Amino acid sequence: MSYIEVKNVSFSYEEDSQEGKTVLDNVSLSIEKGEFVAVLGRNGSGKSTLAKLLNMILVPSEGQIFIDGINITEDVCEELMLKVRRKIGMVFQNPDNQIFATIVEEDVAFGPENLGIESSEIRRRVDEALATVDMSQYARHAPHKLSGGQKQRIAIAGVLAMDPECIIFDESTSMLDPHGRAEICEVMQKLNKERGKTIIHITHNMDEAELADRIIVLDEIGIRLEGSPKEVFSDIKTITELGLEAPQATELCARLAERGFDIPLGIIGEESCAKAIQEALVSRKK
Amino acid sequence: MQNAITVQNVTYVYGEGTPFRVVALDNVSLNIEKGKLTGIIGHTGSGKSTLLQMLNGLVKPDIGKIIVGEDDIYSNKKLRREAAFRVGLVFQYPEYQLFEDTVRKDIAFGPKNMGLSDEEIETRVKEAAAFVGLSEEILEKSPFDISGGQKRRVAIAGILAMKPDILVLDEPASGLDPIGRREIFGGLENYRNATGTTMVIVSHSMEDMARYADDLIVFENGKVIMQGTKQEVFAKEKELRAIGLELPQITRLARRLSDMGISVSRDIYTVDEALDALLSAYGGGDK
Repeated sequence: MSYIEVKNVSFSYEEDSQEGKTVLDNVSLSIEKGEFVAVLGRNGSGKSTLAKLLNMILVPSEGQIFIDGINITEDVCEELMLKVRRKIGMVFQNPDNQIFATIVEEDVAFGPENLGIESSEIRRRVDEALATVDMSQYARHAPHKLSGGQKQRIAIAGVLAMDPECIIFDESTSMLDPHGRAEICEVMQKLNKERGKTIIHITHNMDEAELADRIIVLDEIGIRLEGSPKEVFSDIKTITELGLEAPQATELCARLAERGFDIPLGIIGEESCAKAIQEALVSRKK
Repeated sequence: MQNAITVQNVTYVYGEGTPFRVVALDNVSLNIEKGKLTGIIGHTGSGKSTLLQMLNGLVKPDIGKIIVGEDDIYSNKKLRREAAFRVGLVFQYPEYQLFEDTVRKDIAFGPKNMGLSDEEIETRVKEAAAFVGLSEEILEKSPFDISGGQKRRVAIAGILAMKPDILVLDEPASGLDPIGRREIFGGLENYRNATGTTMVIVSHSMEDMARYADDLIVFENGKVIMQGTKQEVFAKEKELRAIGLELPQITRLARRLSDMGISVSRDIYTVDEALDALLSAYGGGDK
């Protein structure tokens, strides 16, 4: 069994007097421990709902979810919830909604304090978490004076201090400027590669999705595309149909190939694309 | 060349006299040309939002002048109040400010405050809704029963219905998926083509700026560090990168190809432009 197993899960939001709105319909997927997965899809495609189901903020209408072998959809109780949230941490979209303490390190300590962890261990965890996101020098600063990217890094540190195995980033880069985005992407990669954390990154940004081992594309009814970035971005037709955009260089290559140029599909990154285009042009001249 | 807005030596300080003193704008001067779409780029905290609020009378500069058309808008109360109608400001995440029970009433709120006749209000609501692609049917719905992208367009239509001389938007497409972004920018383009309204748009998306802007202004730490046409600003690739701003991937690809000796312009801003350039230089393909 994989680390995360979602089996035939459906979810509907209740709407007054109307029939419930189904956002996930019989979705199954699995995520391995240590994997870096990007989840793409239009607004309203159920990406955030999926994240909330994994973290037990929501409970599926149908189907089962297993986290590390534990069925989190059966005998739902507070104890189970705490157990799951120690395993799966979440970082949300708005940096201003996640931080409430007046001093950075107090904010980071909030989670482990609630877990009833001994104070010397809390100290160690807070220091380590702040060091991991490169914010140690701000430990005694007031959070509201920090930039968006810095606030998100504090939010990540707060999650890290709980020592989860998996972290879900629910559009955590979408309100940040380019600099903040780059900071958060760097932290994600570091946590994945160096600390072995399983990362689930929900995003609209294709350049960020390129960083993942695997991309899952959702639409209103469920999973529409799944595979490595190369595989997913090879299918420009479906990507476009789903209202998404492939990275620009990848799209240009695909459209040149459509016009008869000898360019393979799914090329990622401007350097590889430039090379492929040059080779195609040279071969045409002959 | 005629300026819609001139900002002259403007300085603004938050928290003067406290330990939290921050210079938000530091001797900023810039021009917004009439009829153009000017993009403002720069990091969070670089002073962009403070400047936007000055343009329509909300925040008075500590030092310096804001000139809209011919008028120094902070020189008297009347001009300052008029600026709120002459310069339409769409804040970031404007959908949180919707409050009426129908979309129609929400769009009508601004024009109503201008004291227009019911007939004129109705015409303006219809026009504004059409520009941003909102159907008659949606006008009757509650703004809380429509999608996020639609809500955003309702909020923008509310400002369009006031027919400002200058439209200022702070991150109008932020948080939306690619289709949502195109709907917003497409609507703004329709409006601009039809009315010739001067637009100022703050965005973090270099792709959107490359596609839609005529002129660009770059802010960093409360100062304007670059201003000019899109071509002039994007020519300074290294300086932009130094402050963490990357050109769109398609522009970088075109320049790399050009460096490799392939015949393609260095001023390519969209995938369509790149495709056209390569096809016209190297033929339309084998098919």
